[in-house]
Amino acid sequence: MSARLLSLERVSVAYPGAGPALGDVSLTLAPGEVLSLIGESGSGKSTTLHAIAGLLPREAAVSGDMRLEGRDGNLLAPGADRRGIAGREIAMIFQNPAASLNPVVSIGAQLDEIVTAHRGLRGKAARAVTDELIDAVGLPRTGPQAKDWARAYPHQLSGGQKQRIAIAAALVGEPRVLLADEPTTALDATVQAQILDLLLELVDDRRIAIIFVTHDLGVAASIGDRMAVLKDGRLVEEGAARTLVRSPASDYTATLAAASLPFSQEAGAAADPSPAPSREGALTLTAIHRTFAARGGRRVQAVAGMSVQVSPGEIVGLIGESGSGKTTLGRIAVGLERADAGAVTLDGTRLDFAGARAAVQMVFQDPLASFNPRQTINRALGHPLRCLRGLSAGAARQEAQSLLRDVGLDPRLGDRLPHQLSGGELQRAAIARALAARPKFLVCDEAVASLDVSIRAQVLRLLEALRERDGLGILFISHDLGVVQRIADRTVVMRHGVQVEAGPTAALLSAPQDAYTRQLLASVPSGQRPWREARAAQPA
Amino acid sequence: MRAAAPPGYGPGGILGGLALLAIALIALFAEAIAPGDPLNMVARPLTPPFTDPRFLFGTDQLGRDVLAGLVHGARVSLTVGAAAAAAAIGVGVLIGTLAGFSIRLVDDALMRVTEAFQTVPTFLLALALVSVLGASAVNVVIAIGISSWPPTARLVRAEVLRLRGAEYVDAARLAGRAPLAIAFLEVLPGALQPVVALVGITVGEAILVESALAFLGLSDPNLVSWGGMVANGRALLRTAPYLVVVPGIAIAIAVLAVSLAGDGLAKRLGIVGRR
Repeated sequence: MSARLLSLERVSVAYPGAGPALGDVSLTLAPGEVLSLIGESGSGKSTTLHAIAGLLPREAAVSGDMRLEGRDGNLLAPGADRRGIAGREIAMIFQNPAASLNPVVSIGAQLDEIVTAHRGLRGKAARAVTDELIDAVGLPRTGPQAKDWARAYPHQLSGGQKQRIAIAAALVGEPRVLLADEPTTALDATVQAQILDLLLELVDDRRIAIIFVTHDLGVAASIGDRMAVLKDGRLVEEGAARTLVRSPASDYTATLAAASLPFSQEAGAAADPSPAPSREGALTLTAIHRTFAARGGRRVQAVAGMSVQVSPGEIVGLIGESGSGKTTLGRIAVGLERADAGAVTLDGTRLDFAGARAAVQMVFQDPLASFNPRQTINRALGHPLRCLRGLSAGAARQEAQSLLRDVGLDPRLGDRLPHQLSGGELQRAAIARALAARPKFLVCDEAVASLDVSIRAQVLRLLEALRERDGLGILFISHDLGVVQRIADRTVVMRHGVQVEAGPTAALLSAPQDAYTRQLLASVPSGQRPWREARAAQPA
Repeated sequence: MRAAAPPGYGPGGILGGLALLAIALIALFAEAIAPGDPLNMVARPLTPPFTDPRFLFGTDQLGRDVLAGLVHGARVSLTVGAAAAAAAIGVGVLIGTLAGFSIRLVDDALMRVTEAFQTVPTFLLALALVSVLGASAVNVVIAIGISSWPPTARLVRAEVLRLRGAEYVDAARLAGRAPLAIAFLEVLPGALQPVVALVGITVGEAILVESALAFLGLSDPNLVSWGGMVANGRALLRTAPYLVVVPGIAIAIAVLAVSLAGDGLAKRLGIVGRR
């Protein structure tokens, strides 16, 4: 690394009454460099960014040394002159761009305001800069997708477009450093790919250096020149991004890399082709249709004639982007949602909409939201045991204990309230609750999406073990191709409520037949090679 | 990440709670503090306050002890206020729950009724009801209850609608719980929590409406009431302002105490954030 643009030396952050949030973290950033910052929740990734941007809450105690090229002295020292740094030399973008946009003011007016504040321009001069920036972030005023974006309001933009506007706002101050806090986590794979393209374009065209915080190792390794790994507020290791993933020096990075399951098309055929599962006793969804009434009298067709079959002991991955109808299909499978047309059958018997179906249970995305905050875990497990299996209160309690043991939890946790358990423990408890009804099939709706990678790996192993032991069939709904690649025997790709492609996972992911599937697979950063190279190699 | 200290009642909440406790104790021991009927004439009329140690706040134009009136009036204000608020919240929770769980048609009907009630000012409605029903403590409670339930109903309905779509309710459906059990054991307890934030406001408002009704002479003539005392002193506002000021201050303190205590409670339960 030639010049140092930004350097942190032994930076620590502590909150009163809590342990250190960040301990002795040292980092450097060169002009035009992308540094990925990776770690699990609570590792101090966001705290690092906030410390750099000066956004830490007042009560936080900060120590250490931060220097920015061209500025004198330690910028973390008390009373340091930080004027013109945050928002100008160092800009930041966040995971949820909508939160930083005012819903009742047009995009252009919001950007004009920032232009006025940072560059002192007003009126038409400000709007000219705004238009230029909106164009620079890939929302052109001319050409095939032309639109006067400045006049649009935030609700008229998609999530990806909002993130582009947030990037435009960050560019107003002509920053040398861009802090990106999980900027693509909430976005679909194809949109994420476009935002990554845009960020690297800014690096190339404007020599902006980026610190890119993410929990996704595939993204981190693809976009980063260098990568730093954080754990419990400490820097575990740092080095060239791809090298670090391929041959990590520390055990923690190795564990993280092993657990992170980045999707890779090259490694597609690794899974052993499982024997063709018997169709006997299968859960079958046939020609399902479902339409919702949307605002303004419009009707949205969520599912438009989907058929899926899951055999006992089979794990079927259902992938698709948001709005593809995969969640609605899952809810129809368990009976939470009614199908307008089509049938759900189990071993040839039609399942009614009304009433609980003990045979098909569900594991939800957010474990905390799926438990009543006022009921203990035992109580929650007791509902299916008593309502669906008719156990007495005493027997239900006994059974709840054994269910918790089955999913690898200490039975004593059963007396706790949901918020007293960690996310991973709670998701295991949710699986225990789903198993309490003795189902033959499980629908997992993004069931590991909110978990840290190491915990995610444990939950996936648990699901596989249950499939082996009980012959449980699983419909595994996910947007994460790496996870589906790891766990699913067969994979179904869904888009706009219909099936795009289906087949054995290994074959489908290594040799997709459909153009949309190919595009979807190509959007996922594998972490194997630099993002620019991976994109250049893709068929357009 | 950050250490989450359990939220406290806050200084206002503690102050309000203590004041409320003091008023409640005074009301409870009214008989011991000021024995006998407060409507009895006990001394020379219009004794100014702080001149006779036996009648700390003086006497009114009929020679009745103002302090005795205050002490016994606390009883009326607190009980009528609390009972009326309980009635209002009870009706509100019932209507809100019904609307939240019912089919669209019933929900719409109940909400239109709620809006109809909201278009009439609370006080005017209570006034009209008491005029028709007759001035007694029970009727005042009923009148205030009927006129102040809509905010609670709207809040409970909104909460029920929000929680009805929660993932844990879906989970309960999949666990085979009966619809009524889901409604009353899974959804309603959560929906009722924010109502706590309304309790202070509702009780405070009920005390004010009761006082205003009493001021207009629409309260039980056999009970002494702060509002009635203000009305009684109004004629002598120039010569003996304390007859209006003293019970007026009592009303203000009571309403403030109830509101602060309610806010403190809501804060403690984490319903309203500190920031």
